[in-house]
Amino acid sequence: MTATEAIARQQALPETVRRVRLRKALTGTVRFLISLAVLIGIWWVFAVVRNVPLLMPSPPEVMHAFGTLLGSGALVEDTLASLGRILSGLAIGAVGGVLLGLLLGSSRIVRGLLTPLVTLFRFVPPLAWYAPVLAWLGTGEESKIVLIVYTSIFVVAINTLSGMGETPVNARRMLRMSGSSWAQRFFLLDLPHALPYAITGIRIALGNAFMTVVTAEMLGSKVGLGALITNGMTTLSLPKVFVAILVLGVLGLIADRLFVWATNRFLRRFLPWTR
Amino acid sequence: MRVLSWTRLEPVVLPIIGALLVIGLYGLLASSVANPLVLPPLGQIGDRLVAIFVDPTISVQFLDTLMRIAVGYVGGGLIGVVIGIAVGSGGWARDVVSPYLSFFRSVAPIAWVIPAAIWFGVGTPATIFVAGYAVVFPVAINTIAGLASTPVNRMRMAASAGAGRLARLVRIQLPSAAPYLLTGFRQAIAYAFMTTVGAEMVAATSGLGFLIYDARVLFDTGLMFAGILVLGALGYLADLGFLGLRRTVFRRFVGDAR
Repeated sequence: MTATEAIARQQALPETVRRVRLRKALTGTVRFLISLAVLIGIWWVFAVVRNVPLLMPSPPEVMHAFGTLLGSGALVEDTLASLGRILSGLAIGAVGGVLLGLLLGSSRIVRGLLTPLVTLFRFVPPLAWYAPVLAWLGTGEESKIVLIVYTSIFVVAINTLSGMGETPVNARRMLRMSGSSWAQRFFLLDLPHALPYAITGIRIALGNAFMTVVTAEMLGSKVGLGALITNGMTTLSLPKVFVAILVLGVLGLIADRLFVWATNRFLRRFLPWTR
Repeated sequence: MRVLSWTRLEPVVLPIIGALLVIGLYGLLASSVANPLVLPPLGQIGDRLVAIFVDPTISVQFLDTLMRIAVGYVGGGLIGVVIGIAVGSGGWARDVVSPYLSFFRSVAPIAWVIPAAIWFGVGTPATIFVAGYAVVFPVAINTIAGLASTPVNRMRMAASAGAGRLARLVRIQLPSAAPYLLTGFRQAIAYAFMTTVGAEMVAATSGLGFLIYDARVLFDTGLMFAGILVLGALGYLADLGFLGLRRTVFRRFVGDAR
C-alpha cells in the first residue's frame, strides 16, 4: 500500500462513519415523527369523541389559542416576563452559590457553623417561602426573583463545595512545598477544580428556576407563563393552559441545550470530560 | 491520650454553635423589628410547631402531605423505572420515547396542576399526579444512564452463556444500574417534596403547602415558619432514611459502601 492510498483510506473511513450516523439519525427522526403523528391523532380522536372542550381541547383548538395569543402579543409578553425573572434570579443565584460554595469549601469553621442552616434550607421547597416572602417584599418582581435565587443558590453552592473536595492531594502538597500563598492555591487549584461542578450545579438550577417561576407566577402575577396557566383556569379555557405548557417545554428544552452548548464552547478548558 | 480531642468534637460542636447563633440572631432581629407579621417571635413559632403535631385539625394536614408525597413518589418511581428500561434497552422504543422524555422533562411539573385538577379532581389526586410526574424524570434518566454503563464484557459473557435478552436485563443490566437508580431515587425525594408543596398551594384545600399559604390570609406568620421548619425537618429525615436504606438493604449495589 502506498502512502497516498493509506491517506485515501484514512479519509474514506470518516465518510462511511458519517453515512452510518446519518442513516441512524434519519431512522430515529422518522420513527419520532411517526409516533408524533400517531400521538396527535389519538389526542384528536379522544378530544372529538369525548367532545367536552372544557376538559380536553382538541389540537386545532390549541393551535387556534396559540395563534390568538401570539397575534395579540400577550404570549410574547408573558414569555419575556418569565424569562426575565428566570435569568435575573439565576444570575444572582449562580454567582452567590459559587461564592457561598467557595466560602464553605475554604473554611472548616464557616462550614461547621453554617451546616445546620444549609441542610435545613436544602429540603425546604422554594414555594414554602412564598407566603413569608410576600409578607416581606410584597407582590412585586422582587419576591419572584428572590424565590428563584433561593432555588438556585444551594444547588450551586453544594456542587461547588463537592468540587473543592475533589482537588488532587498531591497537587496541593506540591503547591505548598513550592511556597505558594493561600491566594495562589485558591486560584490555581481550588477554583479550576470547583468550576465543572459549579457548572453542573448551575444547569440543575436552571431547571429548578423554570419550575419555581411557574408556581410563583401562578400564585400572584399578572404577566408570565404561570399567570397564563391560572388565567386559563379561571376563564375556563384549557387551550390557553396547553399553549403555556407547550411554550414552557420548548423553552426549557432550548435553555438546557443552549446552556450545554455554551459551556462546551466557552468554558471548554475547565471541563475535564471534553478533553 | 486525649479522648475528647478538638478534631473529634469539631463536627458536632460547630453545627450546634451555628444553630444557636442563628436562633439567637433571629430572636434579636425579631424583637428589634417587633412586628409579629414580618418576623414572628421565637415563642410564637414554638407554639405553632407544637400545634402542628398536637392539634388534630392541623396534624391531619401534615399527614395528608406525607401520604401524597409517598404515593406520588412510589408511583412515579415505578413509571420512571419502566420508561428508563424501555429507552435504555435501545431499539425503536428509544427513538420514540426519548424526544418526549426530554420535552416533558422541560415542562415544570407544577404547570400540569390545572389540567390534572380538571381531569382527576382538585386536591389529593391532582397533587399526587404532579408529584409523580416530577419523580418520573430523575428516576428514568438515571435508569437510562445506569443501563448504558453496564460493562460490555459482562453482557457478552452472559450472552455466550446462553442468557436471553430478558435474563440479561434482569440479571446483568439492572444490578449494574442499581447505583444509578439509587441516585435517581434520592434526587426524586427533593422533587416530590417541592412539587407536592407547590401543588398544595395552588390546587388543594389541605396539606402543609395549603397550611403555609393559608396562614398568609390569617396573618399567622408564626404558623408559616413552623410549617417551613417541619418541611425542612421532614425532607432531611427522608434523605437520612434513604441513606440508611442505601447502607443496609441496598448495600451490595453501592460501590462506596464496601
